[in-house]
Amino acid sequence: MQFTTLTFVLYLGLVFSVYWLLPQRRIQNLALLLASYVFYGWWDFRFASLLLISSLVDFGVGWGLEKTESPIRRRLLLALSLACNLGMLAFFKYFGFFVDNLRAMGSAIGWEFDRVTLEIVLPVGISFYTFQTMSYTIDVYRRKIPAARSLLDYLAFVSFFPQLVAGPIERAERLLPQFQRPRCFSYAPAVEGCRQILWGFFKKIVIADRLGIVADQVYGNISAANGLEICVATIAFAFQIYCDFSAYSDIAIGTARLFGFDLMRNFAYPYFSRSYVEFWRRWHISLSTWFRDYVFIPLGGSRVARCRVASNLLITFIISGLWHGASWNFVVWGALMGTLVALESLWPRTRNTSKNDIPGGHGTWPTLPGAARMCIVFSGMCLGWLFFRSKSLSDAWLALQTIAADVLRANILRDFGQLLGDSKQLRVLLFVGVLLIVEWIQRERPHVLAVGHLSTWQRWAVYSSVFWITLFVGPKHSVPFIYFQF
Amino acid sequence: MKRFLGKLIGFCALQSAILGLLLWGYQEDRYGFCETIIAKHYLSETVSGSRIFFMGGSNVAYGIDSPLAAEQLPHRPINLALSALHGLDFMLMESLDVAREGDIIVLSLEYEHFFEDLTSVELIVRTASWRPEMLRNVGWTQARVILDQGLKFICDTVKHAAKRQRQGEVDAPKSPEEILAHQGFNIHGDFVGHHGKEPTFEFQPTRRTQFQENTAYVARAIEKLNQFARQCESRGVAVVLAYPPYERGYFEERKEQIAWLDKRLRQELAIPIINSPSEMAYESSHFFDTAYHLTAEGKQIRTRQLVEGLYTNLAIKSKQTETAIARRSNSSVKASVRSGKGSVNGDYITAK
Repeated sequence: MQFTTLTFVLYLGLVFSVYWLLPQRRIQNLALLLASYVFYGWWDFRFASLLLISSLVDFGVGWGLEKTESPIRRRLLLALSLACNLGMLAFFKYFGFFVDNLRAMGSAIGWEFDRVTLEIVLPVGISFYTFQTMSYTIDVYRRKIPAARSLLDYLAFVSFFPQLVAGPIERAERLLPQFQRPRCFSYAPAVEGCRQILWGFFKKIVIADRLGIVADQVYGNISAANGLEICVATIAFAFQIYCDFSAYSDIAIGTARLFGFDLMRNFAYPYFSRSYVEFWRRWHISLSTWFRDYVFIPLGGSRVARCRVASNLLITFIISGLWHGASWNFVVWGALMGTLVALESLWPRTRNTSKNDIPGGHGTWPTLPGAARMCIVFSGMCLGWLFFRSKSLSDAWLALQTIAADVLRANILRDFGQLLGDSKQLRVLLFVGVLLIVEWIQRERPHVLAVGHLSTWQRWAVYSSVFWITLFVGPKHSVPFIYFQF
Repeated sequence: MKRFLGKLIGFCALQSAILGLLLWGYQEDRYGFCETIIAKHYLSETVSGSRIFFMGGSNVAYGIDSPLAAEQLPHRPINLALSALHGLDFMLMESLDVAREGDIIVLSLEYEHFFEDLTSVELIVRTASWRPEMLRNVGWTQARVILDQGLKFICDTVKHAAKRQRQGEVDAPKSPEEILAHQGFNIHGDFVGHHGKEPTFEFQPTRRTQFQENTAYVARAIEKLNQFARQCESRGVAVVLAYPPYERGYFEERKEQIAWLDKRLRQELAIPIINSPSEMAYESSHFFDTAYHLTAEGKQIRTRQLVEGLYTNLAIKSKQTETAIARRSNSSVKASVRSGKGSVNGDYITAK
């Protein structure tokens, strides 16, 4: 079930009504569990069995880890959980990639393999919930958290529908206790949740899907585009993926609030970052912290020699790239991001910014050096997005060649003027401009529509405007969220 | 909770009031052709003898010369097609709704039906407003699509209401023949409103590669068609699949994907295919306004090809031996026209 559909709006209303009419926490959890499986099964009910298998295995492993003290048995149990989750991921997500590369390597050395083809459909959200269940098992193994005692609570935690398909990837330490204690309706979080849902709808329908048209046109047939068009399409994609994914997170967080749950923040105005390290503290925070805790730190983290830190960062980002998709362009994207962050880590130390700092710094306007750094970070990200959006590595390479050839053209400025004259491109710039301005103004708040400080009529005017702009601009097609494919 | 619900209801009431003001006196006419659904059902109910139904999207509505087919086939041709945006499920359900023993259904689906779901909720709602009985046939799959697209429907309605694209006056109720004539269809249900008009179609290379090979989606489409074939077989209805006419430039752009589709269909489809995609790739000059809409000349070529395909693939008796049946079915339609609701003028019915 897609968030930005009438189906979801009606379904949310139904589940919300039933949920708060139920008297006990356990029955509420059962209702959430059923609602989550229906939500997930809406795509394909067969996928729900994978979710159940992953949940049951990790619940059993967690229970086993709690019961045994033997280090060997504990390691075996952990290995079982990892094998099951990573095995599922490997089969459904990476099988084709491995086979294709094996065949390519084989033919390079003169061995021809029989063509092994399996038409495997990638179950929606598999990368997200496998990571969530794995983090639970690893945390129980590390004795960071106790194993869940109630299967119902655990199943409801893993399948919690607002964040099931595309995160935020919650840790058991934070979310599971919320399923284990009674919940009562609270006005302020529910209203905040509605605001966040409305803003999520706006970002997805009005901005992301519109920018997506520009990006799809160019990246759909990269050989027909000129360098300027590729640049504009890449910038459009940079904002498309941000608005798309952060909109999903906003709707997820807002929906969870309606049920009395608090999910972690996933985006904190990343394009106002002044360094790549800061960017990754503000972008897809739940995944970045997952890789930090379960890959980067076990590799040695930052408490080793600086060269080791840099190589650890590179490895972590390459794995993160592979997590995004079974394709070499994602690996290159990860390597590029890793290189940028690693180079920054080798640079003479400056004060580290955290996600809690004000994005872009204090003051009404950004300082000149601050703005310059934001532009540099954004340019590097766009280079990365070029690889991320391209259909293949050869397409990405062609795009780079085309840009390089076009930058030196004499009439590039005239073409740029013509491009701006096109009403579609101008509208894209307008959307992006408005987004940046409102985000800059609201950057100290958790999301743009956090307008609780305004008077009632001002708030209602803002809500109504956002609502009507969303309805008026409307979805052209039902465009799935980009991160569904991961 | 009371405070929250109070405010939520207040907000919804305010927005509904704004919506009410916006839609006040607004009437949609973008899909006026949907009313021909009544006339097409009327045709299929009133024609006796064995019939041949042409079903598909607008490639069929624009692309069949039924009078020509009637000359060559012993069956009475009825063109049931309206728009591809009705979606595959709707087309199959509508065909099953009208077909009876001895009939033939020729399905000619736009290629897009095998690559994406084309169902437009707006079109379904508009059509259902003319023929509410069709909602009985809406299955679970289609209900899901309608729900999933509901937001788009609301947005589109708001958008057009705001621009005030009105119909103007509300038309008085019309007879089926008047509806067909009013919307530019002939008595067989073929769209002929563009005959004699200057074609506007021009091939423009598209940047976006359409027809993404989606194995799961095509498998579902084939399964639906196979299920449809089984239902037809149990009712004694013959069914064949014919590729649609497609402009050669677009065909060349999507040649690989179409070949991939053709291969799968020939391997897995339980319905005979009576032509090939390449033979249905026509020159630009045969198209009226899109890569699927044929001109009057184009539709004659297509119809002849279809008839030949039907002779080859189905055991259809020659026209001479079946003339009597065809004459009877023709006369029954014309008789109803003569009964005072319209008059026949060549291919057209002229509304009184």
